[in-house]
Amino acid sequence: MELTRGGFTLSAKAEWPDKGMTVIAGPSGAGKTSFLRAILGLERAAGQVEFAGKLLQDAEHFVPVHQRRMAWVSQHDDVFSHLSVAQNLAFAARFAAPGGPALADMAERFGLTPYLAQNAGALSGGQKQRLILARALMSNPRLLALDEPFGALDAEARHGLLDLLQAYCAAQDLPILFVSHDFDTLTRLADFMLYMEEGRVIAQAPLNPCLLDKSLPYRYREEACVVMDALVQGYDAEHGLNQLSIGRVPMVVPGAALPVGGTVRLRLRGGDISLSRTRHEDSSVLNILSALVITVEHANGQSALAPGSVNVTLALNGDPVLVRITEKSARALGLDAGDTVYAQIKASALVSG
Amino acid sequence: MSADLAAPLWLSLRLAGTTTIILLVLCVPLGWVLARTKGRWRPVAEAFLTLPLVLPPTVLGFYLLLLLGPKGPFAPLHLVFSFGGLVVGSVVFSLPFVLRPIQSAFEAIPDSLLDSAASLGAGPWHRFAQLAVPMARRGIISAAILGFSHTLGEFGVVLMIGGNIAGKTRVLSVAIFDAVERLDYTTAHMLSFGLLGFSFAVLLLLSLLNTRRAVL
Repeated sequence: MELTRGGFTLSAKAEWPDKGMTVIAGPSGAGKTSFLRAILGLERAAGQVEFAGKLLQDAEHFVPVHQRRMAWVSQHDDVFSHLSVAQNLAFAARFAAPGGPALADMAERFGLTPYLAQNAGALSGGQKQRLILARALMSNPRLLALDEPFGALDAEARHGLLDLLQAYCAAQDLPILFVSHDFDTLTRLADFMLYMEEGRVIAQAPLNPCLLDKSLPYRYREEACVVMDALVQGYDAEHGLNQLSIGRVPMVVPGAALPVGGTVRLRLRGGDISLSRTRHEDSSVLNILSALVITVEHANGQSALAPGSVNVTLALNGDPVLVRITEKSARALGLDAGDTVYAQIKASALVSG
Repeated sequence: MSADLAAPLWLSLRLAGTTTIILLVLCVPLGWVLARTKGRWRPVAEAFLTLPLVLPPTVLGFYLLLLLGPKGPFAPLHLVFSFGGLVVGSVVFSLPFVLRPIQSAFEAIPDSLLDSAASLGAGPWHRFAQLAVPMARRGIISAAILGFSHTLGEFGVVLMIGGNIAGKTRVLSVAIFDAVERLDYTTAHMLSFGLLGFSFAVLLLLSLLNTRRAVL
């Protein structure tokens, strides 16, 4: 699609899965919001939009935003302040396609039940955010479009709300399109990613390939990581350790017991993995795995990799994992592609999301 | 109260009431359209609709007289020297006073709020009737009060179009002028003081309304 607004041209072409969470990321001013608004029909871009096999716009047709069933949550406080909390929810329900959620259930889920009769303008910032999300879901949309809506919330409140949202959308099979430049949100929740720069989508792929892509900034960040889904096998109550597996690779993670049989997302930070040629049984690190070195990338002044740093890619259960070590260590180990090494993965570095 | 006082007062109130209702019907949709369009013609439309604010009432009255008069395009309507003519003149004359506050109230509603509502499935009519109008209600009330009191006080346009026919076009302000001409200062005093008191009461009401908004 093409869109010009005051000297800025959006010229984007992208395809993404119609389930799970797709994050639109990129630097400020890359056109993420404009792109999202064009998909929803809030901006009239030239070009074609298709959703779930249905044509929403092309040269001749344009389905207006209120008929697209794509609920938008903006960066602003968009509660209808002249209405009560219940009336805000009922407003969305009025236009919802049949089979939408019940108002009382939605209010309960988002902790709004005690405030239903209250004027929406009098809510606190966090309560307003919950109301706006609940209202968006009340409209029974086919797509939930979020434009960095949680900027005003602290990390804990944001995580709580996002987890709530993701659980609901996964259960309802409702895809989410999420504009965000928050790395934490991205790695916690994204399944797929569109990366934009200067009005163009320069990468579109599942999350891990983007995190490892040499043309994107993520693999060069200090907190560079990949994510992996792990199955919860059991819990060692004596040591407070969750026993997980990534494919056939066992992994232990300390902390409160996770539901056995469930799947959790683990974030493997490159800086929390160390490498050695021999197996160090006396190490404080609990997860020691043998792995194959796929690539070794040295800092060369051209990439954004900090001088003195090396990015090593390993294969773990067949999937690439990024390890960040120093140039000095890489030389001492004599690392090269094709080598077999031992990776010590600090169990405490694995977070469940 | 003598018929001398009652007739102009009643005529003025009737004129102001009719004018206000017509202006609200016109300006609520017009203000909405102006507030929501970013077209190139918008400044032109705004300048044109604000003209009555700056033009001398006699200029307006003169052109209206030409339009409505026996040789004008609207001659068959027989509006000159009638109540209908007064209403037309007052509507034109008071339009900016009603349009401006309504337009500002609509402009104060954030775009993102209306876009959100659209994405929830609310079409243009619902966004206007169920969100914009209730959210702009204080601006609309202010506009109605301003339009009403402004129409009560008009003089030049009324005199040009309506003349000075007792019981038909002799409104309060014209009656005051008439009384002064006749050196009947008692009548002039009573009418003037009444208008003064009324205008003050209206402005006080407006101000109280605005204070309450700030508190809310």
